[in-house]
Amino acid sequence: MATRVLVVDDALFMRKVLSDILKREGMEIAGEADNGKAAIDKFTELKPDLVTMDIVMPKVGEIDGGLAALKEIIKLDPNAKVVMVSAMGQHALVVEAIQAGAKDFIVKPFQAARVSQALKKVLSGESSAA
Amino acid sequence: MPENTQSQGGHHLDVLKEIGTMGAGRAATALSEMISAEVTISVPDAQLIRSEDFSKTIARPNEAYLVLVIMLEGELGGRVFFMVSPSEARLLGSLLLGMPPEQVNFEDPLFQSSIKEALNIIVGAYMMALSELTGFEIMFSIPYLAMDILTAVFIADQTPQKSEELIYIKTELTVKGHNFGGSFVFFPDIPSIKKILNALGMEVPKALQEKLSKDEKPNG
Repeated sequence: MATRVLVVDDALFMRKVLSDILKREGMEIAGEADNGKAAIDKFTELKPDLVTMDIVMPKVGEIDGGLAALKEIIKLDPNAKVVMVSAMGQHALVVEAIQAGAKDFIVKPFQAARVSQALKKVLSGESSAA
Repeated sequence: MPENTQSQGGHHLDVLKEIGTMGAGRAATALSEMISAEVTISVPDAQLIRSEDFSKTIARPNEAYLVLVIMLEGELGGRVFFMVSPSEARLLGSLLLGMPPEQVNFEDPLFQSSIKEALNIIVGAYMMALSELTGFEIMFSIPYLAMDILTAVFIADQTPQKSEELIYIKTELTVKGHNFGGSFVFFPDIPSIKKILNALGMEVPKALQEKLSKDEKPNG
C-alpha cells in the first residue's frame, strides 16, 4: 500500500514540485494544504502516513505558519511523521521544528535524491532529532 | 553616471562584490536544481548607491518589472527587492514550468507561484551570503510579488527609518543559452546599514556617518 502524504505549502508551485517527486517515489498524495490551520484540519480528516510542512506560511486564525501547525499536529498525534520544508537560511527555525517533534527537514530547492532519502529515513523510524 | 560611494574607497566595493559573487553562485546552483539545467553566472556588479540615484542605475526605469518584496526581521531590518523584467520572468517561467516561453500566461496562478518561489530562493541565496559575511542572523517575512514600475514599488515601501543608501547587485545568469538577469536591492533601515558596514570592516563614509548621526538624534 502506497505511503499517503499530506503536502503543506502556501506556494502552489512548490506543492506541485514536491508532489511530483513524491509520486515518482511511489507515494500517494492524500491531500494538500496552503496554510497551517488547513494543515491541521486535513491531518485530522485524512490521517496521512507522512506530512511535509513548509516552515514559513501566512498566519490563518491562531495558527502562524508551519511551526505552529507542527506543534498542534504533534499534540494530536505524538507519533506523527512530519518533515519540515525550509528555504535557505532558516536554520534556526529548522532546529526549533526538530525540537518540537519534526522528524527531518528538506531544503528548497528540492533535490529529488535528498527528498527521497529524508522520507525513507523517516518512514523507517529514524529521525534527525537532536 | 549616478554618484555613488565608489570614490570613498575600493575596499567596500570588494566586500559588496564578494556578497554578490557568493550570492549569485548560490543562486545559480539553486536555479540549476530547480530547472535541472546548467546555470552559469557572470561576475556581478555590486554598488552601494543612494536611492535617489537608483533609477539612473537600472535600465528602463519607467517600465514595469516583476519585483519580489521581502521584509527583513531579526538582527537586520529593511526591505529586499529582487526584480526581473517581464521578458526575463517569461523565460524563467518557461524553464520552471517546462513549456515554451510563448505559452507562459502571466495570469496563471502556477506561473506567478513559480516566479515567486524562484525569486524567493534566489534572494535567500544572496541573504545567506550577507549573513555569512556579516555574522548576522537574517530572517524574512513572507514575500509578495508585485508588477509595477520600480518607483511605485519603492514609494509603497513603508520600511521605517529607511536609509538612503541601498545595496544594489546586478547579476547575469546564462541558462540554456539564454541570458537571464536579475537585480538584488537591499534597502536597509538606518541602524542596519551602519551594522553592516561595521561588520564588513568597511569604513563608514563621512557623509553617511554625518547623516547617520543626524538621523539618530531625536526629533525636537
